[in-house]
Amino acid sequence: MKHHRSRWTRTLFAFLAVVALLLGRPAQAQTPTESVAGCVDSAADAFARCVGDLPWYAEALCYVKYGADAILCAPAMLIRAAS
Amino acid sequence: MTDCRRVLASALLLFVACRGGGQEDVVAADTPVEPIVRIAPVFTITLRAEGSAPLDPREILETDSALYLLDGRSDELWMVALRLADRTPRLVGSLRQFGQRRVFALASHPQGIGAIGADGILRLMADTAPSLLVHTWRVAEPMRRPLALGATSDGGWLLALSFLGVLPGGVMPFDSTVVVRIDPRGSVRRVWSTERVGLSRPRAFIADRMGGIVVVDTVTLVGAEPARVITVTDGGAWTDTLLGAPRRALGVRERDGLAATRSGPGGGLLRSAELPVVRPVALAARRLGIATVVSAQAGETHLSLDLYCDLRFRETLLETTDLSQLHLGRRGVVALRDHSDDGYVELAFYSWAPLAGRCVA
Repeated sequence: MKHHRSRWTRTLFAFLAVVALLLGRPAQAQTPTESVAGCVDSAADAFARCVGDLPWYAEALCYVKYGADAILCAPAMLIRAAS
Repeated sequence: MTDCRRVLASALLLFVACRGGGQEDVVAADTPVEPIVRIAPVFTITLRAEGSAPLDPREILETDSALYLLDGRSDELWMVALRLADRTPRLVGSLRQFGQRRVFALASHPQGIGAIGADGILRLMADTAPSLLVHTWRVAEPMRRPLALGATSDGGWLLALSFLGVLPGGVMPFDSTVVVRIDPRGSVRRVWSTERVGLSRPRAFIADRMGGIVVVDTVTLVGAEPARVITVTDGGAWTDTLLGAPRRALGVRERDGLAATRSGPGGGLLRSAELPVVRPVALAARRLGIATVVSAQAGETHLSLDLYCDLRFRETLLETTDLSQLHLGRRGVVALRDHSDDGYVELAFYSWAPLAGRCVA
C-alpha cells in the first residue's frame, strides 16, 4: 500500500511539474502577420468607436486619425517603430 | 504620422468630444425646436435593460418577420418579433464570439444575416441562430468603412464602402465611395465609384458627407454637398439633385467643433477643407416612386425625416429633439428616441405605405 501511495505521489509531482513548465514558458512572439492584424483590428475598433460616440461634426477627425493609423499598421512602419 | 501628431490628434478628439457632450457648456445658439410629428407609427417599443444601461442600437435590420438590433456597446444581436403581440427584445447572439466587433452594416439574405465591420470580412450568420456562423468572405481590404450592405436577388451582395486612404509620406487624406458586387461564391467586382475627396475635390473632406442604404439590387447613396441622391444598379448609376433642401444653421458648438477638426493634424486637404455652413441635409434616402424620404441632421444631436416629391422638398415628417437615429429600410423606417438619461430608448416603426400618397395630395 505504501509503495502504491508513493507511485501516485510521484505521478502527481510529475504532473505538477509539467503544468509548471507549461505555465512558465515564455509567451511566443507574434508573427508579423499577427502583429499587423492585431494593429488593424484595434485601429478599426477605435475608428468605429470614434464615429459612433462623437458628435457628427467630429467625424472628419476620426477619418484622419483612422487613416493615419492604417498607415502605421503597415509592416514597414511596425518594424521601424519596434527598432 | 509622428507620435507627437498622434497625441495631438487624440487630444483634439477628446477636446471635440468634451465640447460636444458637455452639459455645463451650454451655448444657446439654436432656436427652440417645434416638434413636428406628421406621421403615426405602426408600433412603438420601449427598450429598457434591467440592471444595466439600455440597449444602444447602432444598426437595425428589418426582415419580414423581425427587427434585429445590434447593440453598439456589446455587439450583441437582439430580435424583436413583428408578428407576435409580445415585442420584447430577445437576445439571440453575440457577434464577438466569432471575432466580429463594431459592425457598420447588417443585411438580410436568403441564407441568413450578413454583417461587416471595418476588417473587410463579410460574415453570414444563420438567422434562426445568429450564434452560428455559416460563411465568411474577405470582400474588402481592412480599414475601409462600410456604408451599406444588402443582398441581391441572385444570392450575392451589394456593398457600398468608403475607401479612405492617406497618401504615403504624409497625412493627406483622400476618400472614394465605392460600390462592389459580391457574387454568391465571394468574388468581388467593382460596380461604381466616385471620388468624394481628393485631388479633384480638394475642399470636400468635411462638407460632403456620404451615406447609403441597399434595397433590392439598388444602392441609394446620398451626398450632402451638393445635396444629391445617387442611385446605383447593375444597369448603371445616376445622380439626382435634391431641390429646396431645408438649410438648418449650425450651432456654436458645431462651428467650433468643425473649426477644431480643420485645424487638426490632417495635412493639406484638411487645412483647406471647406466648412459647411448648414447641417448635413441628407444622411440617407429611400426612393418610393415620386416620393423620396430623406433623413437629415436637424440639430446638433437630433435628426429629422424629410419628404421630397419629384426631388423637391415638400415637408418635414418627423423632427423632435430626442430623435437620435433613423434607419431607412425596405418596408419602413425605424426611429429611435433617446431617453437614456431616464434609462430607456423608444423605438418606433413607421411604414412607407402611407407616405407615397402624400406626394399626390
